[in-house]
Amino acid sequence: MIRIGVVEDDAISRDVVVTHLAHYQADRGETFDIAVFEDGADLLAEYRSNFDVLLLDIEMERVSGMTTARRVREVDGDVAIVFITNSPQYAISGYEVQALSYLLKPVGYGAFAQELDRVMAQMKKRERRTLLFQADGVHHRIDVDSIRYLESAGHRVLIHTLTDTHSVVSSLKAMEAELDPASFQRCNSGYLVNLRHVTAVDQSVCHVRGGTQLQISRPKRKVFLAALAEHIGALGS
Amino acid sequence: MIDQTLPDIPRVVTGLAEAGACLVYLLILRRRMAPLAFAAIAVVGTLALIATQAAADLLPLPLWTLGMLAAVLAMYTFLRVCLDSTRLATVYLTARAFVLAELVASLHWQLHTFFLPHGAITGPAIVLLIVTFTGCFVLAWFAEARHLPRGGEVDAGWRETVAAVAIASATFGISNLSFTGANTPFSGRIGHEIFYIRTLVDLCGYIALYAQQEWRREVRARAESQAMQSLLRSQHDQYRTTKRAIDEVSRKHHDMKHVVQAIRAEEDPTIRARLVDELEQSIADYGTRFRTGNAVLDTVLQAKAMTARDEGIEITCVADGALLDMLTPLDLVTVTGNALDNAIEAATRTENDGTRSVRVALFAQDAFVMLRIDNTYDGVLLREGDMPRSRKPDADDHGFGLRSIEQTVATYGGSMSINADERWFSLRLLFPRPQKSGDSASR
Repeated sequence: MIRIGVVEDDAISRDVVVTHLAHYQADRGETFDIAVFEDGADLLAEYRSNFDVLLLDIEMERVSGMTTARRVREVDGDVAIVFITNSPQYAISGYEVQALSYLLKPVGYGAFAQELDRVMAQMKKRERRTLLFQADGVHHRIDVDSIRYLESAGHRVLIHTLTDTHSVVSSLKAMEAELDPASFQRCNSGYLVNLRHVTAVDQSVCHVRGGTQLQISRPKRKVFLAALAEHIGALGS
Repeated sequence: MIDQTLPDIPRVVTGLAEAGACLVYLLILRRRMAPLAFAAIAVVGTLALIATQAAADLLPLPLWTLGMLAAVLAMYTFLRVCLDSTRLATVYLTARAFVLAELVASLHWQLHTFFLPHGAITGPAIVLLIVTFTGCFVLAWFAEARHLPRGGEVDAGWRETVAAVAIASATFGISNLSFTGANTPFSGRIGHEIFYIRTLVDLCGYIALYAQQEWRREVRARAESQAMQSLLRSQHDQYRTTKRAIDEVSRKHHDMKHVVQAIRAEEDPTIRARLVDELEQSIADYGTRFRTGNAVLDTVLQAKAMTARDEGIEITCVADGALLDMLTPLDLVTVTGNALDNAIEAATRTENDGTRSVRVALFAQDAFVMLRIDNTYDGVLLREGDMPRSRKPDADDHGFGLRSIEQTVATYGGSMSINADERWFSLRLLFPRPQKSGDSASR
């Protein structure tokens, strides 16, 4: 069940949002667990990372939506935040709290449902994936997100994660087939890089988290950079 | 082999011609050093070029090509040391300087053997040398100064450089064919004609390279005028926006006068409060402005938002505008203006039921800056290669503006990607973040 928090000080606007949520559940066959708050302070008082989505009004009497969002982000990096506002000039700094869009009042159902569709799709995408392999006679199951890059080494593949390196009897091609091509790209024929850990690219060098520098080969450069643009662009969309 | 009575160009003269040709370009373009230091380096460079030629003369005939390559390398080094430009551009200039040197040396030698058949280094010979060299190089300087940026930097791409090197090699090859003694349809056999053929071929090569540069300049000018046009168009949009805003304000002012009068006259405090509320509501819209921290971006957004609103499209923007400060205003207008025009146009193809929307997001991630422009669209995407194709009838003129966005982004070392599902079209522009931030290890 998806848990949604609605934070809105104006009773009329709050009713609109709650009605839209009911309408959306009936429309899409979803069931939401909805909690309503009259101010950011009320939400923060009992916040325990127990929401999937927060619908936040920005202009509130006591604690504003932006302050609320910042405080929430300090403890919860995963919850999706959607601002609902009268005046976009406040929402424009939403990038600080990874809220990359907002709804303008009065909120029509069409725009509301469309925004919620996006949030739902984003949540589905965020499912954790794991990779299973055997190294040194031991079975491992690691979080795909923790892989920094894979390196081809003869008949073996080195899996460099944030903390360890595993050596697996396999080929880079076989491993590549198991991983999501949207997140894993070859920067040259011997390395398969997890794009989420690419921290910088200058000229033909790709910097990977942990201080590793990998060469980007000329023929792979364009595709690699386009995939990187797509990957970073997919954040919060 | 060449006739004994017709000696070929002395190596010193060739070296001098090469130095002269290099100087023609060096005196036009931007140099790395102050004039005095440059003069010193120019003297050293000239001597080095003559020395290279003299050393090449000592090589046995089969290694003649090697000697020529050494001379070309020396010219490249001379240009590279003095000029403030990229390696590729220097290669391009070396090709041009080399052909010019060949042309002048050949022309001079043709005149020399005609007027002074015995070829001794006499007073008149030196005068002839000085007159021809000075005349030719001054002429070349004026011709080149017309189309190279004075005190500026030449930029050459791979394609142009390869073309220039090919033209120079072909010119050099054909012009020297007669001297190899090979009996081919393109080589002369009789004395002076050999020199004449060489001069003519070199002249053709020089003209070809000159024309190539001229063409390059024209292409660049056209691109610039296109960018300028889009800037003008956006300024025109801005003008219309301002005009409309002024009209609207004066209309509002007129309305407000009546409301204020009504408030003054009203005795009942509740009605009075309601009137004040209404007044506040009626001007609420005028406060909404984009303030991203980048004035150019704000202006573009403001102008496009006005156009969009007429079509029932709400532009939302979450942006740290300062991240785009590295773009020149012209580039920023080109990129965002084009992208928003496309987004608005595509959004209008869907039903106007309150769901038409364009969303702009601009944020930093590690050492990257991401500008993302999403829009709702009808799900129909015509592709041409890896690019979506415009659906306007005169598609060639518009080409979606994507090419121009991609080119501009590329000049900042960035890249572009397009993502689309059946509801949303998303344009993603990735730029490297200018200054290295120390927080790249955290996420």
